[in-house]
Amino acid sequence: MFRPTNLSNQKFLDAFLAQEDNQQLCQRVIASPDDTQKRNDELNSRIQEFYAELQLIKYISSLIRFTAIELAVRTQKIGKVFQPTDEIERVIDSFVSDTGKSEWENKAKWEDVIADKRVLDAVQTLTEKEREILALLYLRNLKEVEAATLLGTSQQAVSKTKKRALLKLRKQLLGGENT
Amino acid sequence: MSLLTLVKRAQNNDESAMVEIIERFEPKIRKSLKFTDIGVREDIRQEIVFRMIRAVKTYSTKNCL
Repeated sequence: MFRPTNLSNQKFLDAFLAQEDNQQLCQRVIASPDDTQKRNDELNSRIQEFYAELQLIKYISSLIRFTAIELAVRTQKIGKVFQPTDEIERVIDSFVSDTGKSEWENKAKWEDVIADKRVLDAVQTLTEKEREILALLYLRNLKEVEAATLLGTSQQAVSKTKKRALLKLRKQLLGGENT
Repeated sequence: MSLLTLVKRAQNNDESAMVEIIERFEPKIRKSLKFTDIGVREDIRQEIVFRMIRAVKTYSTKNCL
């Protein structure tokens, strides 16, 4: 319930009187205090109505605002929770991939991944360098940049060699089909 | 039409009243979403509207006139 006597509600009364019909009604009440109770009641009920309306607006507004804040914070938290896991994986990855050239050379075997004899033969016809790069990129799933660091060359050089090797393979396999 | 009337009508399953309420608060929703991530903005908007509907449905209009 709104109490019109409370001075802290000055702002509310200002807003109430900003509406013209409310102001007119108010002035009429003030101009003739001896008037019937009816008009007084009308003013009072209008104020109560206005107050209830404002309360409702305020309620829904805060609901919107706090829901937005709550959910934004929650998604941020979820993002943070997952990050450390990524970090750990990255650290482990760096341990695994930095163990030296000899290890990955031995591990990656074309025979293990290629079932098709024709493809395997085609791979064998590539140069040593091309095979090495394809092995890094596709058997070990490294990025071009990472392969380049391991081989001590640039990413562009790796990319170029990869393209040439794939082109060779494609030519060879397609040519084999035609004959 | 006053918001209270709209809420009362929405509580009586008047869908157009509910839509009108949500539309009236659209600027407020947009403003509140400004600082959120674009990727999750649409999800948050859905949740806000969902909670608004729930709040309107359960809002007690008894102590209002």
